[in-house]
Amino acid sequence: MPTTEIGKELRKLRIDEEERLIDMANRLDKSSSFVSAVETGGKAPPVGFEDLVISAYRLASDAALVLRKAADLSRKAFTIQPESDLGKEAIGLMARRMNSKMDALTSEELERILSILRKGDADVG
Amino acid sequence: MLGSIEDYKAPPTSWAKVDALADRLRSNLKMDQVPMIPIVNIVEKVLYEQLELFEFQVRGHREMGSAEGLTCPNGDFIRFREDVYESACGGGVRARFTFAHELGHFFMHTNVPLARALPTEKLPAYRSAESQANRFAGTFLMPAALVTPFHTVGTHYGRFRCVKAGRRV
Repeated sequence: MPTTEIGKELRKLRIDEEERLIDMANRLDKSSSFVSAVETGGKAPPVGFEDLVISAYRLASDAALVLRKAADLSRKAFTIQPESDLGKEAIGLMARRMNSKMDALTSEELERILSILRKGDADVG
Repeated sequence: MLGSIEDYKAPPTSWAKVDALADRLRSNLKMDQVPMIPIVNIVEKVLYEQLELFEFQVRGHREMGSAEGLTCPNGDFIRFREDVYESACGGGVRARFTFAHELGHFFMHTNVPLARALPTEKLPAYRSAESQANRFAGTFLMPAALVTPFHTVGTHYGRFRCVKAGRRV
């Protein structure tokens, strides 16, 4: 029923925890209309939302990975927040390059990139 | 309400038929003998999460305006204003009625031909979608079988957390 991947995960989490939307909203310190909008596709999950859920529900690494993936699949745009002017310039350049490159990549190439990045995540985590 | 503050002409329905529908739903939920029905859990946990009959949505004042609840005419979602949802969670009488009212719209007025009534038109209750939903809500929250002559209005209020229908939602 929920239209987004993050929505499916939030709903599943709530069922597992036997919570209502209001309980989840209180646990996340968000309004119930905000959580409902994210769940039903009215709003994309904002930056850091998945981290909030992971920490509030103390999700284990496997469940956390599923939630992060669901959050990414529910986003149309991604935000990077560089602090310095140099950082902004570099990120802008990188974003433009990636935007034009990503569409040109085949699904095999994207899969290969994903697998490299996931490995990197595992190394860090 | 079904998407606008105006009333809609619904297929003619007798109160006996509306009451029977509300009683049947209570019976299907095994809630025949429960005076104060857990209306939020029925809508959110049972009909939405378990049975997936519709999408349950909560939205803020900015999006909902004066509408306390709204049922998609296609039956895709039922939406409540945030303060109404939170009040219903806390047992608020008017909010509980709104929940039951929207449930009435869902079961009686989705995927059926409805015509918007003119602002000047006073629909007979049996043709009015709003009156039908009010009747459904009243019966669902306070079924005749559980109303006894030994209670006062005050004790009924306490038992059912419901007020008599007669308001527009």
